[in-house]
Amino acid sequence: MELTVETTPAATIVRVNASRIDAPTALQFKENMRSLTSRGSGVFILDLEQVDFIDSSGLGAVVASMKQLLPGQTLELAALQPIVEKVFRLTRMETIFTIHETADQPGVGGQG
Amino acid sequence: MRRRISPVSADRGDTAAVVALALCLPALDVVTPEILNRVDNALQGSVDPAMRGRVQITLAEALNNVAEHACRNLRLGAVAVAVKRCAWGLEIRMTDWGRPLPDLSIPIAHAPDPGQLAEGGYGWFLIGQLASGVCYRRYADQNRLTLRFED
Repeated sequence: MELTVETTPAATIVRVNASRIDAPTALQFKENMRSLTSRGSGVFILDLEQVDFIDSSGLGAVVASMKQLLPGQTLELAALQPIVEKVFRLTRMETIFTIHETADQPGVGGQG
Repeated sequence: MRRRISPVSADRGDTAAVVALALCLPALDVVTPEILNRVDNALQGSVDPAMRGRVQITLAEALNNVAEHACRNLRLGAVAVAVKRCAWGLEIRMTDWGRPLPDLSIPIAHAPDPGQLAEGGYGWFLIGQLASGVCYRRYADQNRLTLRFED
């Protein structure tokens, strides 16, 4: 699964260039996130704009990505599409993460 | 006078049901997206996006359970999926030839506690939240899971 990183003054934006985070891809996602967050500090924003679908394995991998952060790092989410939003809402995981409408809004992506 | 003998197993009151899709594919998590795609294509146009979303999430969890538990490490694991459109909504029947569910019943799914930051255990909870009805039966060597989605 391809993740691309854009560093702005306010945050490190991690874009998921895949339409699904699911059982076949969850482990790779988690490992890619681990290496991306193995250094640096501050806010990491996971941009989920291209992700149409997530299952409970994918949800678990996003939670794992937060749990494996180093001290001084935080993980926030952006651009949840309808099915992804539904999974986060039903499991109440939306209460655990700060969620932005888009990764590029002022004050989040460094434009503000 | 000739007597008409009706079959015992006749599906009563279900005459309006139309089979939208029936398939049988390997029970592997890498195949799950393909099955979901085919089901979604079969429903496109006649079922609204919100219902299709419910079906995608529920079916994904149910198929992953089959791949990861019922058929894990089996040399030949397969899952059959039949989607029926009924007057009241959709019925999806899944059949697999893997191991039975523990205690031959659907596990009790507690509402997740987000503070636990659990990395799993959401599958049956999501199924229970999104399907209008769930029924599990073990028939001989088959698991049969029926998911109902009312409009």
